[in-house]
Amino acid sequence: MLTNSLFIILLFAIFTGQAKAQIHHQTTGIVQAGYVASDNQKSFLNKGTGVLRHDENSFILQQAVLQVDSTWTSSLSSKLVLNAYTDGDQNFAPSQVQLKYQPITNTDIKYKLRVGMFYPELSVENTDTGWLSPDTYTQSAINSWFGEELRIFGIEASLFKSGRRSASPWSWDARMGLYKGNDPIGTLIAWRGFALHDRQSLFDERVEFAPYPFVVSDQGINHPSWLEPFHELDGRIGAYLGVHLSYLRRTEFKYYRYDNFADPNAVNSQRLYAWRTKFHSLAVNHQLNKNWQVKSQLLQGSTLMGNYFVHVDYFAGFLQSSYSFSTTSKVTARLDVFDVSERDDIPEDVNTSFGHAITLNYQYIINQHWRIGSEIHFNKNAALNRESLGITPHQYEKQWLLIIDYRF
Amino acid sequence: MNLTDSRKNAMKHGKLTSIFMFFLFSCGNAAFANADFPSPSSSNLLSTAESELQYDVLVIDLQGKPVKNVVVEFHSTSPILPSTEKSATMDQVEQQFTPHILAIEKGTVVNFPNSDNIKHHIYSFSKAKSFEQGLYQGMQATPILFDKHGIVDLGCNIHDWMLGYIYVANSRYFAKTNELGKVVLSIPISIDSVSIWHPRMQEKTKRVVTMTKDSQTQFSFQLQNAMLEDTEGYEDLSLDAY
Repeated sequence: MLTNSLFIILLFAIFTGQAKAQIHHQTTGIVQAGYVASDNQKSFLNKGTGVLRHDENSFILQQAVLQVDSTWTSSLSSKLVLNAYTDGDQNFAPSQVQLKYQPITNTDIKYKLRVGMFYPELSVENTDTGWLSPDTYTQSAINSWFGEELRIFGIEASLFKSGRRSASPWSWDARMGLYKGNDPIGTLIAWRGFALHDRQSLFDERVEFAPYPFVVSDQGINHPSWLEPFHELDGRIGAYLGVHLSYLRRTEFKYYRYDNFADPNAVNSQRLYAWRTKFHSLAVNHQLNKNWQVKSQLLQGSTLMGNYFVHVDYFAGFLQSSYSFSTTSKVTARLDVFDVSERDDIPEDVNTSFGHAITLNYQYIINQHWRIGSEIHFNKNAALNRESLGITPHQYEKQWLLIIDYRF
Repeated sequence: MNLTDSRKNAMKHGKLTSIFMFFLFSCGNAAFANADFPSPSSSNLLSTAESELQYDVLVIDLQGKPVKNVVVEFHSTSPILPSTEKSATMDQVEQQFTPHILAIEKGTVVNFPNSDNIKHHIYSFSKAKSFEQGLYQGMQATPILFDKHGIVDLGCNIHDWMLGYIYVANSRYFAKTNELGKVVLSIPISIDSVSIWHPRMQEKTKRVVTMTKDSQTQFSFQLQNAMLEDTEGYEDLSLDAY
């Protein structure tokens, strides 16, 4: 499917007559390193039940992102994002690879296509290079989950209209995506629950979680205590619809409906299941004035695995506000709530989890290349299946980060 | 008084006030005429100062409120020597064309620097100039010659909210109205007509309104139709976006 889509887009670019030789590559990158003071709740990345990325006091490499934006013709461009991590399964791999076809047209309503491995643009939080957040290091529960398990391996078509060209303050963008290869999405929030971090899953990566006895047991679900979120298991095509509505450049709404149409009974030789995952996401980004910005997102959905082995509803939301003291100094506060509710009738596999978190971040831009920032994060959460591992279900996790940020 | 007499009177008036006009133009032109297009040079004015006339133009909308940034062009059947070494700049700043409206003389070369740290891909489908050009961080784009009178609508294929205009005037005698909707310009040749243009105008004559009154030096335009909605708010605040 990917190959066919790529071929179609290349044909478009060649035969529309707009292809000109103006190849250009622009490389940008972010390296974030620093120190973390953390409690000792073992992170899910280390097969624990903690929902934060770090679980010991140490010097850390928070992010290392290299993004290559290439212009091939006036209509055809590409983006490659490579990430390096010292934690998790993969240390160096791409997180996004996409080819975009956007012809220059003299019409009110324009269109664009993109194909590859990419995020649906449903977040108002992850607007920095490499899908990072410009506001915090620990991202919201919603977008941490998307970073872990959501990626589109397919094609997206958009129709959009700029309000400014018709002297209207309103602009819109309607898009649809078709994809394969995102069948295990839902696994993590069903068993581990929501987590808050900025560790994105990379191409072909394995994501760990705690070995809950009933999950990994031959007598139980017999699922490994990890998943590879971008597998195709049932051959079905998933879809999403998105609508962006903007008022000037002051307010933006984004609504997305995602459904992977997975066959929940599909299972592969690794014992990974396809999870029928669907959700609504509504995000808003509002610039109150030159100093204040407010971002918020709500997520509501469900996921189903097997013959109703696991069936949960989930809800998450965040409200974030940033205040810029100047063009170089900014403070951000965010409140997260998240909840996963049991719907199946298997008492041995407990899926209920919930919690809330507060994140406070301060960043100072020293110059074009260097920034410094600090963040504290408080997270009260409960996952009832921790009891099966002898861990208290209710946990209070804390984290403090001091980060030096270099950009080029 | 016929038209010829009135013109003579006007010219006589011009002689009496020529020195005053010269100083007014030299000192006050920057306040009235926008600095983003080439103005008549001082040397040209010096050589013709004796026959200069000051032209005052006011543009108001349907409700009588002044309209700023209206391009006012003065037309003449007399030959006008073109300026030499004409160049102008249309910058990209915070994902906006800066200035929003650039008025230039025909034959001007326009530079398109990119003051943002992201790439732009600007284009125009206008009859006066059709082009497209990628603007990359740290790279000097090839300047573009605008050699045809008319209006050039600019867009960016990456940032769809970006909208800019280049008004290519036939001669060097043009200016943009200030906050009070006014243009004051001293011109050393006789003027036959004045036209105004603004992208949000919706006049029946479409984009250019022309008023022809020989010897007249005061022009007051009131728009007969409501202007399109003011979307300057696109440039006030900017969300971070992909």
